[in-house]
Amino acid sequence: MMQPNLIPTLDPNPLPAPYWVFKLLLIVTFFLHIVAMNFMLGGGVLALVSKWRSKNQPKGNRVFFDVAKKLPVLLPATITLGIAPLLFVQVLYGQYFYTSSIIVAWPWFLVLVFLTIAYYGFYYVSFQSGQHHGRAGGVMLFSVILTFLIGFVYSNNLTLSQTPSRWGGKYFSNPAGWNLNLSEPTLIPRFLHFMVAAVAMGGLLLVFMALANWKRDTEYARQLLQFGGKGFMYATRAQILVGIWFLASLPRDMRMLYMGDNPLATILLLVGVAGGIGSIFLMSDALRKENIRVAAYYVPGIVGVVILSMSVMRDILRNAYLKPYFQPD
Amino acid sequence: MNYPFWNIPYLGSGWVIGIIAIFHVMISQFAVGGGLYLPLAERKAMRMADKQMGAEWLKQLARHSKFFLILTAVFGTVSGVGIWFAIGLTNPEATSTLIHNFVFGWAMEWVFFMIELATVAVYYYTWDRIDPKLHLKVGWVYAGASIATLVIINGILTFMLTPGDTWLAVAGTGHEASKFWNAFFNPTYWPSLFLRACVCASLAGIWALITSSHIDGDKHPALKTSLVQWSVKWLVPSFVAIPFLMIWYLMMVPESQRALLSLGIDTIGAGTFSIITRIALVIIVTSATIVGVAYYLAYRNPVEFNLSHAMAVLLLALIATGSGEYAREMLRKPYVIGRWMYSNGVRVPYVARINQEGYLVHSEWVWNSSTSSYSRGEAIFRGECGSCHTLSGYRPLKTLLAGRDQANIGSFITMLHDYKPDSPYRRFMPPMVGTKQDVDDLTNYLNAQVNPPAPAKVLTAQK
Repeated sequence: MMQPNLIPTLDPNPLPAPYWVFKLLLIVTFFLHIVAMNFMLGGGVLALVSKWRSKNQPKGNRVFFDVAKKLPVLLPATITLGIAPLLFVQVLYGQYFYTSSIIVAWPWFLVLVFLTIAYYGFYYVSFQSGQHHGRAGGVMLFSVILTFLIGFVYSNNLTLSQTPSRWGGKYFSNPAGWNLNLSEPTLIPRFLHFMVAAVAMGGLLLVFMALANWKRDTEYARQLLQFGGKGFMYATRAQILVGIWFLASLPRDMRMLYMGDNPLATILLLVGVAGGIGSIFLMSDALRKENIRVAAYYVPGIVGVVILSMSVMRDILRNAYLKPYFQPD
Repeated sequence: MNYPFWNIPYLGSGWVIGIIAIFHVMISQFAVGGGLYLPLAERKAMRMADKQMGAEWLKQLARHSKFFLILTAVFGTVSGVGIWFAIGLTNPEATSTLIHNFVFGWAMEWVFFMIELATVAVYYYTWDRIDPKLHLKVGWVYAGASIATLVIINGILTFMLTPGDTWLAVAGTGHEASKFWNAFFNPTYWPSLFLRACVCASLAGIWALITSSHIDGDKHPALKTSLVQWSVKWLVPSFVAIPFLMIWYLMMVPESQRALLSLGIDTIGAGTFSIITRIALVIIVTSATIVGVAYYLAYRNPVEFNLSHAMAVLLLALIATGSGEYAREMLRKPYVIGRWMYSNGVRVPYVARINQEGYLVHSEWVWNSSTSSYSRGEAIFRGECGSCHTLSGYRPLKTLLAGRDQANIGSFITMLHDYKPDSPYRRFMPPMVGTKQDVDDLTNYLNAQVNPPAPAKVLTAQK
């Protein structure tokens, strides 16, 4: 049952600028944040895969440590680029965001603990090298798992923020904030949609590293290109399945937004799907011909457009969820 | 009550902000002070006549900058986000007001913060890899960006204590944005900025003592002496200027809010120091000890200065900083935003309306059913008292109300509700807002906590 009384009233201090200004800032900064997050998380995953696949041979270890050196920069970039969308989401959706955060307060708060530990883990690994790196793989795995958990808590909080009908039941069953939003049918596909995208983008990070090494150390650069490019292709293929699952898990009227009801949403979905499939073919071709230009410029260009259209689609979805409660001017 | 309340038993939600904030202040003010320390020290080293010594200084500074990078970039960033999380969880109403007023302030701060993080990483990773002059320039950019973050956040922090008459005159009218700069450069802006700048410089010196204490004094006596003594000098501006700045700061706080401070001073004779006066004493004592330790152990005997000494100074600084921030929060009572919003999120001009309509009328974050007086009382307790009190932990109401019966608790709450001009509680507590029914509901709930009904006798089967 709906409990409209639970929705906090709007702050009486008005916004200092038109609504669309903040909306634009939210989408742009969210896009930047998600790109940094993807490089960090996906880079970490692929570094681990490289280490395991090579069974600790120097080749795989070199990829591992080269990526590991970037993580202590990519993680703060993710956090810092995340502060801006955190600010703007509070400006635009404060009454929903604060409420759901309070309901999942402890998991939400644990994000900070996970973040600190993962951060030091990344630093630890980045300062290891060569011979003595006994625990580097384990520490890296632990840090990457923590960043996955952070993403999971985010998915919980943000899905809960747009479904006020669940608030009362959760809060009253545990006012101390030990809640998640596990009963949300879109939770798992939505979470996976973000995480699989991160792995694909991690592949592109390796392609960029290949570009940087192309002239200096061609053999190593080729290895990076092949490994990163394949990672990108496998993850993007998996993403097609996850994306279908996510779409199917949406309530019918929201699913239909992307299938004709809302022309913009439909076009953006088509752009996303076409861009995803197109980038797989392009990357496959680039790997066969070892064409670094295509892999490091054209594919990321297309992927950038895809992520941007996904960011706008995400916003359309939030508006649809909140429509019964909130219709800003 | 607009939002649900994050119920943290024993500790209370205020301390969640408090603990994160104290660490954040220690780290972020070090980031600002250290941002100046590094390029100034680097410049000094580059200009030294003794080239050998200059090179040793630079080596030590590179080590210090690694420590600086890891501490400020990791803990500073995470604890900064931590404050965002904590204030949204524990006082969404005030957070929302601040964000609606200062979103562009924060957006500007964020840009400088981005520059800060980028330059500190470049600074650390390019020692010996780029032209020394360019490296020094990176250091200056870092210093400028980190000072800019302080200049901006200081406006928002001081606004909470003293929004100023100009902003208050338009508050609630929908024209708040037109007085952005008045709100930003509010009465305590300048004294607070200089105070914090002094603290930043001290912290830069104190943290530098930590890394300098690591230098082997037997092998490099001259290096250690010069670095330790130079770092101690960073403490000097604070201890000369802070007493005067503190007086200036307090003079800018409205008389009504200073009442709490005078409450403590008035009653020193009677031996009943108020908490804020005691905190002031802690700050003075720890600061004086820092000066003593820094002078006798560091400045006079730099070669012998070791990590334990440095940690002692750091711990004292943590206590002084923590006490200072705590005192600032106390000074703000009974408000979270001076004269506009009480600590529990009730806006001052809404009091009369809530008294008429009832506290729970617009929102029903009430346990299970809104019909039971106990449940309504519990919701009111959380919303109106929970920001500062717990039942049996920090500022425990079970203890504070112990010995009172239902009628007595009721008259106490009624006194808080009436909030007469001569009530001593006005100095630090918001009024209890709501209808007569709300007063009764809260009384019922608190009475059930303080005087729990005797457990019903278990009837055992007797045959």
